[in-house]
Amino acid sequence: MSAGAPAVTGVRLEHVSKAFGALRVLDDVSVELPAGEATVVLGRSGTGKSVLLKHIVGLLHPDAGRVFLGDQDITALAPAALAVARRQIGFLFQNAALFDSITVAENVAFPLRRHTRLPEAEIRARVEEKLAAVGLADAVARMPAALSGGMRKRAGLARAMALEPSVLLVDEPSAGLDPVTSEEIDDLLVRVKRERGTTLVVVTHNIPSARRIGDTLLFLHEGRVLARGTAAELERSEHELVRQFMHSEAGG
Amino acid sequence: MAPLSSAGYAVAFAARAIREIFLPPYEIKETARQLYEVGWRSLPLIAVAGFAVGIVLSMHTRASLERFGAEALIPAALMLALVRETGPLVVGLLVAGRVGAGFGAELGAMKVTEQIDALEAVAVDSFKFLVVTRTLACMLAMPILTTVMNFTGIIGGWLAESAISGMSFEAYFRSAFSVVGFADYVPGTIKTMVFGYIIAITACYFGVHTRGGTQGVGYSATRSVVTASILLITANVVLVRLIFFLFPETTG
Amino acid sequence: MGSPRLALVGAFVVGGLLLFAVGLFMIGDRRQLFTEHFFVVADFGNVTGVQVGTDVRLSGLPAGEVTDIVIPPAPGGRFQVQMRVREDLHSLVRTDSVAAVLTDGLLGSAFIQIRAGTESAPEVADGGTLAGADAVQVADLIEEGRETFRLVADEFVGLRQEMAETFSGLGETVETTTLLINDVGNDVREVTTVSALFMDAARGVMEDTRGIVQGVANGEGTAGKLLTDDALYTHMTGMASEVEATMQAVRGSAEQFEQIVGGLHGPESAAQRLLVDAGDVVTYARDAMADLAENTEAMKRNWLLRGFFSDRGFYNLDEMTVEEYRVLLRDERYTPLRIWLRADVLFETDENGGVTLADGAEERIEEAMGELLQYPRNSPLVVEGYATAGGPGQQFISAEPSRTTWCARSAARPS
Ligand SMILES: Nc1ncnc2c1ncn2[C@@H]1O[C@H](COP(=O)(O)OP(=O)(O)O)[C@@H](O)[C@H]1O
Ligand SMILES: [Mg+2]
Repeated sequence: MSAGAPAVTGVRLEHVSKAFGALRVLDDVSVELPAGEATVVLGRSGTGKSVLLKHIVGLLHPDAGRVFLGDQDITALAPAALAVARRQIGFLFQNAALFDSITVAENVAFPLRRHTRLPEAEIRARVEEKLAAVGLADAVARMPAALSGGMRKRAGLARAMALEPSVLLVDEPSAGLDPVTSEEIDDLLVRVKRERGTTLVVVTHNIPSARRIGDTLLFLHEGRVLARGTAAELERSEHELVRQFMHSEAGG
Repeated sequence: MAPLSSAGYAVAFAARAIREIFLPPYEIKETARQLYEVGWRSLPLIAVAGFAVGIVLSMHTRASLERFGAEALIPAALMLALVRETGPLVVGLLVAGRVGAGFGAELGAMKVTEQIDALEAVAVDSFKFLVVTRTLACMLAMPILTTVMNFTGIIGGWLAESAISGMSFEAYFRSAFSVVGFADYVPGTIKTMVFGYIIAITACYFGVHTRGGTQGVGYSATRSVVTASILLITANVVLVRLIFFLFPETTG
Repeated sequence: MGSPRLALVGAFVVGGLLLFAVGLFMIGDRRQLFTEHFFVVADFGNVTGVQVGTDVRLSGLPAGEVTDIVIPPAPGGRFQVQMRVREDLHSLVRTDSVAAVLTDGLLGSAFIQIRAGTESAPEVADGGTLAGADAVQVADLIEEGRETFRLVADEFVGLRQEMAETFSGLGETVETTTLLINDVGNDVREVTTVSALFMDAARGVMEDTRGIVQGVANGEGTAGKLLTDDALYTHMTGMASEVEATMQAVRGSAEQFEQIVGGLHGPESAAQRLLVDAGDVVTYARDAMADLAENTEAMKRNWLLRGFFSDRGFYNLDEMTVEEYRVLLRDERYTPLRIWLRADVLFETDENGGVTLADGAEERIEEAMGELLQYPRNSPLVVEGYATAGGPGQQFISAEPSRTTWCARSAARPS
C-alpha cells in the first residue's frame, strides 16, 4: 500500500438488509458509491448511517445482500482476505475510538507499524504530517483521555488517513467541532479526494458541510435510501422530509 | 442467547484461543507488553502474599507437628503444602482478582468505545491481538509467579521459625527440600498454566462480550473475577486427580 | 513498549526460570541426581514396600534410589527393579553382589540393600544385572541379624496395622486414665470400662505376636525353614526372645493394671471400698501405668520396633542434641519444677578418691522427690548435672534418658 497511482476503488451495496433482533435497520439497500467521488450520507439519528459504514469495512455482516469493494464481494471473504481488503479502507468512528492505552502519535502510527515496513524516521514524519493536516501537531505526545471530543475526532481522522487508503469512511467529522475547524476538516477531505482520488463516504448532520464535500448526497430513512442526488436535487426532492431536512439545518 | 448456546460459544472461544496460540502471526510485542502487566506488575502482590502465607503456614504446621514431637519436619511440611497446593491456588486466586478484573474492565471498555472494532478496521485480528496475547502472557506468568510465591513462602516460613528456634536460613532451606520430590514440585507448578488459561479466557470472554456502556464494563470486571475463581477452584479438583493419576508417587 | 520494560519482562522470565531451576536443583541434589551415578537392575519375586524413590543402600551406606519397577508380564515372573547408584561406590558393586529388600526395623520403611561383592569378581557394568535375593535365598547371604530379621518381619507385616491401632489406643488410654486418676472420686467406672476394652485389644496383639515369635523359634513357617544355620539360629532366637520378653513385659504390666481396675468390678463392691481408700487405688493405678509406659519405652528402643516409633515422631532424650533438649524445656505446655541440689551437700569423696552419697543426702533427695508427687508418675523426670565453672554451653553434660519419655508428650500436661 504505497502512495503511488491514484486509487480507484468504488463501493457498491446490493440488496443489503440488516436487523438487530426485531429492529430492522437496513432494508434491501442497493447503492453505488462511485470511485474517486465523495458521497455524503444524511438521515435522522438512529436510521442506520453508522451501520451502513460498518458494512463497508465488514465490521457488520449483512443478513442478506452483498457489499462490493471494487469488484470484490467482502461479505464472502475469509478473515485473512478480509483483513487484506481492509487495508484499503480508512475508518473514522463516530466516537473516534482511539486506542486509549497509547499516545495520539502512536495511535496514528499504529496502522503504519502493522502494515508497512517503513523505517522509524519515516513513520514519525508521516505521523507528524497527518496530525498537522488535522491541526493537532502539538498533541503528538498526549494520551487520548487528555483530549477534547473534537480533538479526538481529528486524531481519529489522522489515524484513518495514515495508510493513505483508497476508501475513506468518515462518521460525523464535524460533531463537536467549532465552525472554523469544521470547515478546515471539510477542506482537508476535499483536498484528499482531489489529490489522491480517494473515495469518500461521509456521514454528517451538518448541511453546509455536506454541500461543501458531497458530489452526491444520500438520504437514508427507515432502512431505505429515500433520496439520492446533488444538494440542489435534494432541495427539490419530492419528499417533504428531505426538503425539510435540507432547509431546516441549512443555516446551521 | 440461550444459556446452552452461549456456553457452547464460550467453549469455542476458549478452544480458539488455544489453537491460535500456535498459529502465526505471533503478536510477540503485544504478548511481551501483557507479560509486563500480568507478570512483572503482579510481583509485589505475590511476594507479599507469599511471605504472609509462609508465616501463617509455618505457625499452623508447627502447631500440628509439635504434638507429635516432629518439629524437625516443619520446613519440609510447609514446603510440601506450599508447592503442592497452597502456592498454586493462592497465586491463582490473587491473579484471578488482579488480572481477571483488569482484563474484564479493559477489554470491556475497549468494546463499548468501539476500540475493538477500530482494531478490526485497521486490519488487525482483534482476537489474536487482544485475547491470544493475554492468554499466552497469563499462561507464561503463572508458573513464574507461583515459583516466586513458593520461595517467598519459604522465607516467610523461615522468619516465623527462626523467631522461635533460631534456625539458620540455610539449614531451613535445605530441610525444606528434604521431602518434596519432582512429582510434587513440577506438576504443582506447571498446572498453574491451566489456571492462567482459565483466568485469561474467562476475563477476555466477558470483556469482549461487554454490553451496555460503562455499567457493563464494571459488570464484566466483577463477573470475570467471580467466574474465573470458581472455574479455577473446580478445575483444580480435576487437575489434582489427574496429577495423582499421572504421578502416583504424589499420593504417598 | 519501551526497551526498559522489555528488559523487565526479560528479567521476570529469566529470573523466574532460574528460581524454578533452583528448586529443581535442590530436589535433585538431595536425591543425588547430580552426582555421577550408574544403573543396576535386580529382580525380585516380591517387592513389598518398594516403590520408585525407595532408598538403596550399600552395606548400610546411602547409595541411591529405585528409579523404575518393571512388572512381570505373567504371574510367576519376577519384578525388575532398576536402581541408580552413586558412581563412587561402583568399585564395591561386583557381579557377585546381591540385592535384597529389607526393612528398617520390624515396622519401618523398606529399602534395598546391596551387598558389596568379592574382590575376585569384576565390577558390574552400567545397566548390568545383580542377583536379587528373595526370602529363601537370603539365608545364604546373611551377614548380620538386621538382614536376617527381614524374614521374620515378613510375617509381622500383617501385624503392622493392629500394632498401629493398639499403640494409638494405648496413647489415648494413658491420657484418659491420667486425667481420670487425677479426679478419681468422680467416675472410676469410666476408667474401668475404657481400660478393660483397651487391655483386651492390647492383649490380643501381644498374644499373636508371641505366637509368631514362638513359631519362628520352633522352626515353623518360612522363617523357620531357614534356621538351618546354627549361628543364624542363635542370633534369631536371641532376637526373638528379646522381642518376646518385651512383649510379655508390656502384657504383664497391662494385666497388672487390669487387675487393679478389674478389682473394682469385684463382688466385694469395689466402689464401696474405693470410697474408703481411693488413694491406694490411685497409687496402684499410677504404678501400673508407669510400668506400662516403661515397657513401651523398652519396645521403642528395640530395633525391631524402632521404625514404628520413629515414623510417628517419638524421640529419645539420649538421641537429642543440646539445642533440641533446650527447646523441649522451653515448651509452654509444661511447667517445669526445678529442684536444685548442691553437689557438696549430696556427695562426699572417700579416701580412695571415690564419690559416695553423703550422710543425709538420701533424706534430702526424698524430700525433693516429695514435691514431685503432685505430678502424674509418668511425667518426664530429668536429672541434670551442672558444673559451676565454664560457660552455659560447657555446663550441659547430658540428659539421662528418662524411662518415661514415651508418655511425656501425651500425658504430662499438668492439669
Ligand atoms: N451492534 C448493534 N447491536 C444492536 N443494535 C444496534 C447495533 N448497532 C446499531 N444498532 C441500532 O441500529 C440503529 C441504527 O444505529 P446507527 O447506525 O448507529 O444510527 P445512526 O444513523 O445515528 O448512525 C440504532 O437504533 C441502533 O440502536
Ligand atoms: Mg451514527
